[in-house]
Amino acid sequence: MGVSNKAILCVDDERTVLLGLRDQIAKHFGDRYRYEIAESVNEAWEVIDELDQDGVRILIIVSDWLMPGTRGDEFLIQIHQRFPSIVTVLLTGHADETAIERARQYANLHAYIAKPWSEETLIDVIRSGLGKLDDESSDCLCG
Amino acid sequence: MQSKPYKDSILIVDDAPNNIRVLVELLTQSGFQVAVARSGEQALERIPEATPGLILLDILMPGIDGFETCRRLKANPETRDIPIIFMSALTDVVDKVKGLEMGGVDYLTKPIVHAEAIARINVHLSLRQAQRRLVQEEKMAALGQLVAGIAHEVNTPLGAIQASISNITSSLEQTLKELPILLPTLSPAQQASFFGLLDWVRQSKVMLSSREERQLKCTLKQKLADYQLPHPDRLADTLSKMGVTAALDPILPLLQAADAPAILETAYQLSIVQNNSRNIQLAVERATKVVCALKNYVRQDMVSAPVHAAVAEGIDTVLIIYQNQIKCGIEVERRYASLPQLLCYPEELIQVWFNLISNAIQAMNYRGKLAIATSKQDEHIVVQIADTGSGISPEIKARIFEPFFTTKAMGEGTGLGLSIVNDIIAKHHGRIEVESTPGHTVFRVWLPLNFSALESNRIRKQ
Repeated sequence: MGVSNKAILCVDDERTVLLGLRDQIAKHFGDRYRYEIAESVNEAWEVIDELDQDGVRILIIVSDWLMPGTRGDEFLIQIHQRFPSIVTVLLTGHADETAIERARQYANLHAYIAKPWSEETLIDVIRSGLGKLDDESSDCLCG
Repeated sequence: MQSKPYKDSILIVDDAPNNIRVLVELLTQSGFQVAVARSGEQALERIPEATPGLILLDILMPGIDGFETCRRLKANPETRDIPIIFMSALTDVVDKVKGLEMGGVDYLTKPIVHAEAIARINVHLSLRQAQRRLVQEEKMAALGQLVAGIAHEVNTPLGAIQASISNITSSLEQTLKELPILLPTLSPAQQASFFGLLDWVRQSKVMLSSREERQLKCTLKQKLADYQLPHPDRLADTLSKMGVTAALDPILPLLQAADAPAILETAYQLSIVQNNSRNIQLAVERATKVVCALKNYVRQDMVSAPVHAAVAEGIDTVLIIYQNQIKCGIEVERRYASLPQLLCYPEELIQVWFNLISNAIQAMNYRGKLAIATSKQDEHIVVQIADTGSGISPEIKARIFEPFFTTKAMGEGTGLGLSIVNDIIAKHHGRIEVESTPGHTVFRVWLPLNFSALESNRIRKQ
């Protein structure tokens, strides 16, 4: 099992949520992708920079919305500006409609998942997000 | 809010039997419950036991007169909101004015005109009721703001619980297939180290960050290579996922087994069961805290005897309720001194902290620093709540504790928050101070530690 150079990143300030997410993602995608967790937006940027330096490509980011400092929608918009190809997903216990709309418009939000979430929903969303990437890269190849 | 059973009860305070008879008859016929006190002293004695909805108070009485009775009732936070209508044969304007200045709401001149008396009584009872309703609405409005935040606070642990349950289910499914085959192949020493490893994982309560996990994997790979074990990469991968930072010697028998990678994979699955079970426990504790905080908030209306409580607990209750609004842009500094418990009405004090903290958050527009400190000074517990908000201008500062005074837009607040705070602190024989410059506002609440002595003093004076 070699170290993959593709990663899935989860950001949430609640450790219990991160642990649940980590094990779910490890179970379904652990053999093909790296999975990374970050407890804050700051930590997420550190992870992103570090992976970038190591030549690891982040494919998808699943982010909480209500976090200290930067909110999830702002964070995903910043991500989208710097890395437009990263698929963005919001996972949150409370939906602020305008924030979701903003993320749709400016962060090309792939999906919004409400807490509590079912494993099936999460995995489907990640799978379809990864599928979107495959389509795009094949488009690129064709073009 | 439920109306209290004595809402429409009226206390007549008069020394003249004839007056009492006439009034009792009139009021009873109009459907009021009536109680009678024959002197100011008797009235003061009875009121704390059965609070009337309104008091008809004669001015000229033997013993303490109506004005003095009124003064004492107004001095006591428990009785000061009861509307008082003065009655006297005096038609002197000076007395009417004095009565109103002492806090009476109205004045009836004897001989009493029946229809007028009933009309005035009804006006003041409905005013009092409207005021109570507003206080209640203020509380409900504040609660409404919180509901959205509470949804998040509860959905977060629920999400963790649901994820952990699905992780436990799939790990159990997998281990149940593998474990019965695997265990008999292990020697007693290997079995011991297998369960030792699981014990170690259960007891280590750290969750490694991805980076730490990767570093651990590198270190482990090196160590495993030093032991000259086969498959160092796969073993290091599984061990780092389990967060094994302990020495490898105790599990060496396991690592040396022919199918070590499969054995470790099973141990890893079992560690998922352990970790996720603990995760559920943590999430439940978190949700329970939120629910407790809510219960404390709602219970504040119950009148009960004062009890000994830790002031800091009440402050923390409010911080839990507000966690959402705080964590996004507000740095909270808590400096709690080690303090004795305070004899107090804990639910009502929670409302004090609730109002002060919510004002602070709004004054800072959800960004800034909230510093809360408790200390003991001159036999008082002092709670200091400071914010870095816009501050209170000197013109406004003098008025902030007045009922219905507000700087908030229509619909955002009734202006009752700080007046409620003031009443509650007065009930504790305490005081509140405010200092404010732009960028730094401090509310300081002084609560005396000798509450019971002050309370019995107050009762004796009456």
